[in-house]
Amino acid sequence: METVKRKLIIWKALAYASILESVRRKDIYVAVILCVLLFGTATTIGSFGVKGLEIFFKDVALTIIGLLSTVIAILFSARQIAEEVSRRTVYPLLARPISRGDLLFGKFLGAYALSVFALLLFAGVCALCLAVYSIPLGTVFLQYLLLRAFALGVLCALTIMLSLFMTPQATTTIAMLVAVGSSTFAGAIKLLYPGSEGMKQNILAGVYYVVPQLNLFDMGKKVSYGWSAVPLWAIGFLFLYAVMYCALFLFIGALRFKRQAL
Amino acid sequence: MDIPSLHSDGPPALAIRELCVGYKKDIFTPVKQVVHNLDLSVVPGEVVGFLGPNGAGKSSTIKAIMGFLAPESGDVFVFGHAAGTTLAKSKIGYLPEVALYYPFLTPLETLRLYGNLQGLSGKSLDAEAMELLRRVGLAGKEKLQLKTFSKGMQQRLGIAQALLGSPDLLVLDEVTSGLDPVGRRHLRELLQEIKTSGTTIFFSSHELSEVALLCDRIILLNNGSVVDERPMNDELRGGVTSHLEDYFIRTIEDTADKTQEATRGNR
Repeated sequence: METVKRKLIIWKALAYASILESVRRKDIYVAVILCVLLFGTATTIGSFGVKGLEIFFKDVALTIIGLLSTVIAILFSARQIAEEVSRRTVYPLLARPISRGDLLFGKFLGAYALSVFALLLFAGVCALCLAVYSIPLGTVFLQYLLLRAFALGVLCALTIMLSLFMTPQATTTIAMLVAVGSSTFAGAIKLLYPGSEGMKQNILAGVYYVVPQLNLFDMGKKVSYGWSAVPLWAIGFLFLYAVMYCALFLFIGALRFKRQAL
Repeated sequence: MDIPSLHSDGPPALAIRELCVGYKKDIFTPVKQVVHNLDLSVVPGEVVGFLGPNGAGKSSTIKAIMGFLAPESGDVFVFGHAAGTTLAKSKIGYLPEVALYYPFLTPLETLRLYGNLQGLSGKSLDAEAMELLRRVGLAGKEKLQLKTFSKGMQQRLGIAQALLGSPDLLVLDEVTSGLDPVGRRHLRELLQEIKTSGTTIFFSSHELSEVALLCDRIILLNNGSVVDERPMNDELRGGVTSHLEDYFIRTIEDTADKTQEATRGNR
């Protein structure tokens, strides 16, 4: 119990320092400026009238929320460990009685908290814009945000893991490709799978299940078309799916970080 | 070589056995060894100066003590615990060669962060942090962001974070780096105070005057090996720096000559 309490204090301290630094270096201002731009653009377009364009507007708003929160999550996460090493702040941190795994997890929590904050900020602005034109989002929008938050966790963990193997620029590029291309990639595998057989089919199935299916977390269409909310067991399943991938990516990252000479 | 006769029933504060440290640029290049079969021991309460020219392997040895890199071979123990483990690190206060901290945090927030990682929290941590800031001469600056700090002020903060939690062993890499003469004198007085309290200090420095005034023993490293090890005596201390400086340069040049002769012999 004492160990768990101590771990929680360590992770909280690391995450808090990350958040505080990001806020003070005005990283989060990028998100705020993007929100203001979003609101301004929506107001301009909306002044021409939105009658009959509700679905289109909701679609655009959700795409923007998804895209911007993804960009913020990847950019925050890519530099969490890389910057600690490059500016040598990692030495006094790791000189403390903490493991490298603790440092990795604390940094993940910091990046994740900032990403979720950015998501909620974008969602708030978009909801406000849509409310101005009397376009309702419905309760399914809350489920959309919850699943989006799960997906951001997977993305943060993936990006932090990648940052331990490659440069921050390469990490950002690969993470963006996975984030944007995973649904296309999964779709391509689905198309190829019936036409292949034997070992090829097994490899395709293997790749399909190894690559995280971020499209599973996207409920954008349900919100746009005002469909009903999904059952709770599906949300629970997706939560476990996200936790599993986060744990896997952070575990691989911790293994790599443990062996890295500083 | 004379080892000081400080007696202790427990394990040595620091024990290094046949340590080899090497770096590999990539998988295609061979390992470049920077520390060869290093053996040394520091008893509790001792103040040891770890000297050597640039590139002698001092910082690599210190990194191995801190667990920042895995040695090629050999063992490092801190109070009987394997280096790099949380138990070993809980005994150490460490000042890195180049002290860099989060530029957007204040000194108090920085010490709170390191204190939390050390297992400290609450009002007692705040009180200790304020006291340390006062001791290193940063009182009144606890609410300024570190981006406004000079190199010397950052070094003072580095010393404060190393002292946080009253560690049993202080490992200081280039301790006087960036400090002005006033800062150096303050640091010397602080280290004397810490020495009196019985804390073990293991430090590397190019400032031989600090070494002469503080150390019980010096270990001289060159080309990754210990070339000499002796207790500090009045003869070495004489004239504050000149004798120690003479001894340092003479020993390094002698070992360089011997290395050259050995290389010629091998040819």
